[in-house]
Amino acid sequence: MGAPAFPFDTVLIANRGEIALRILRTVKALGLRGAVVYHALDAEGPAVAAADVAVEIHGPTPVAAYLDGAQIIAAARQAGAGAVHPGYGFLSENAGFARACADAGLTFVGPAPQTMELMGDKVRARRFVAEHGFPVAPSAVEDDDPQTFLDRARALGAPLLIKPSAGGGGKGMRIVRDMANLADEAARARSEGQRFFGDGRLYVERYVEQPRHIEVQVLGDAHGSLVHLHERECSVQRRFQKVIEESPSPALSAEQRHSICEVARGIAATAGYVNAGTIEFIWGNGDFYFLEMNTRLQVEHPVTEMVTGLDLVELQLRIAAGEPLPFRQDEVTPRGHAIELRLYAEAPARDFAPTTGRVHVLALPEAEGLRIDCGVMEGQAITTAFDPMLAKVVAHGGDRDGAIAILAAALKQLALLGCETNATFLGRVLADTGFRSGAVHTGYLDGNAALTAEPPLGTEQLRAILAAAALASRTVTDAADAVPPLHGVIGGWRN
Amino acid sequence: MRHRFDIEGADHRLWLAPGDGQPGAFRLILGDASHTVRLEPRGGHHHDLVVDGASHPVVLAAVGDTVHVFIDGAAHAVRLHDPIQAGGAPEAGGHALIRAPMPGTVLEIAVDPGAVVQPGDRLIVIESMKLETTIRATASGSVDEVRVRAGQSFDRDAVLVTLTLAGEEA
Repeated sequence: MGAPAFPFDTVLIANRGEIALRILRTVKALGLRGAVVYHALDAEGPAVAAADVAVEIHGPTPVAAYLDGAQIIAAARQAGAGAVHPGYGFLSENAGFARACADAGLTFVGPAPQTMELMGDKVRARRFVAEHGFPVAPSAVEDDDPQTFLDRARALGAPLLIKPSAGGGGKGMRIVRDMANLADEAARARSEGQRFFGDGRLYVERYVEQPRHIEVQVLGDAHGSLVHLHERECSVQRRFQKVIEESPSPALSAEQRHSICEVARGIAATAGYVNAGTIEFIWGNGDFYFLEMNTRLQVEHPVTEMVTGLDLVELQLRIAAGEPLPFRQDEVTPRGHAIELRLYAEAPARDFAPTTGRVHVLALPEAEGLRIDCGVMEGQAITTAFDPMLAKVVAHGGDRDGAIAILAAALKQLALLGCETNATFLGRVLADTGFRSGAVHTGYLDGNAALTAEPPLGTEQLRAILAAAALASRTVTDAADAVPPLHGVIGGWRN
Repeated sequence: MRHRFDIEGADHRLWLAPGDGQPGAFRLILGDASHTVRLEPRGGHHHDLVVDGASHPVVLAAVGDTVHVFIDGAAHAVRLHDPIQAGGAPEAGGHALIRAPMPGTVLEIAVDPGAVVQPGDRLIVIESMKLETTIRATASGSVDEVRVRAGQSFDRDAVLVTLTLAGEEA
């Protein structure tokens, strides 16, 4: 066998769960050997089972093990790997790790370290994008001139979003709709920034009401060719994390789609971007602004794979191996509509609190147009040590309704027993009138109790559940067998 | 006998009793209704649950005191509370303690101390939750003690009658 096209014959995947398994699938399909690193908690996971080589790594916490670049590079050497694929999260956007891989003679499957440093830094990336004439939200940075900060903020016009410069995760963010409150809100944001991040410096930008999150997949090779692979909309979020992603976006007209995709391509090309990346935008009222760039493979990349028919991991590996892109922009033709649901170990009705358990049964449906990237297997414990995402359920339909129908049918059959998941919540979102019409925004799920609350069980449902539980319980059926027939045990009904 | 199940913190009570001769069939008593129920294996954890002739595909896993039930696209964790021994399973020392399956009141006492009983013989008739129930012996033996009297109320799990099992008498 062998793979003469690649300068490496073994790829180490510096990740876990579904993405490690998904990368392994392509690595093996290309005739390469797949190696993984794993923490002891993942020893019984599917990636370790599927890998050609698995090297255990250690850390003060399970996550710390996957963040330990030196240990992972040592594991790559031990496994005989010539390339490292970082997946998403963990070290995937760490320029220092990319550099350390190169220093160790390993091909890092991702962009050049200096591109990661430029585009991975929110403030630098934003400046770079604005300087090159691409749209960013009108903004004012306190550091530029603290004396005039509030005046410059006021000049942007309402509504405004105040953020701590050092912030993230929504902490300290305040929306100002009435400029009379600007000074007060700025003072509060400053105090929150100080409290959460030890840094009270502020940053203010035009706030987009009911914004949509639309991102564009880009792919560049080392020979100067760069294409976009169209957009994904990821507006259905909870706690600033995506829950449902789709392509194409139901919000965009053909001209708008062309415009946002070309802007993304322009930004990536200007940055000299090589490998797979994603440019994220905030979309509202027909305008869109650059938000940030993710210099790696995204969780939701299957959506793009399904509409374009491309294997992004294969293209990443070929680009990392120095191959040119095998197609031009005008040869990228998306077909149909794809939607991804993230199956999380969490309880939507309890404010999306993470849940734990053990996967006693895992029954994954199969259907035309259905793809399930699953990171757990039967017998595996689900803990809170890692991200709660268990699997991605992705459907490709002729149109949006077709994709929704495939997903709704899949959820009816996808049985994961032993750990509570958000599956029924996902089913309710799919059936929701607002979602069906495509009229969503990033705050759509916030406080939407009609979607998050688990409806009470109906009489027939309850009867069936109790009947099944009783019949499946040895204790109960044995007890029933041990007593004489019913009519002898129970006398008349008394009223 | 009556069992208690917990679903999402809510308490549910049911009886499961042998069916009318159909293999694998049971009668499920829930509230004031009775249903014929049975499970047909479909391979692995998959079954068809048949309730009063209507079939529902289910996926089941019994783990410890919890039964995980997947039905109609939703997974439910159903916890079985410690079973309450209404029939009186033999206990250590050759004696059987006949316990109350639920709180209730004694309607009738059918045996006196010293009476020799066979499995299925009437011991006590109780009333609970508007349901009149005959407590029967599950083993051969003789009645040691009747610990309640007619009209007396008792709590769930209270010992009603004690038996000395046959073959254990000195």
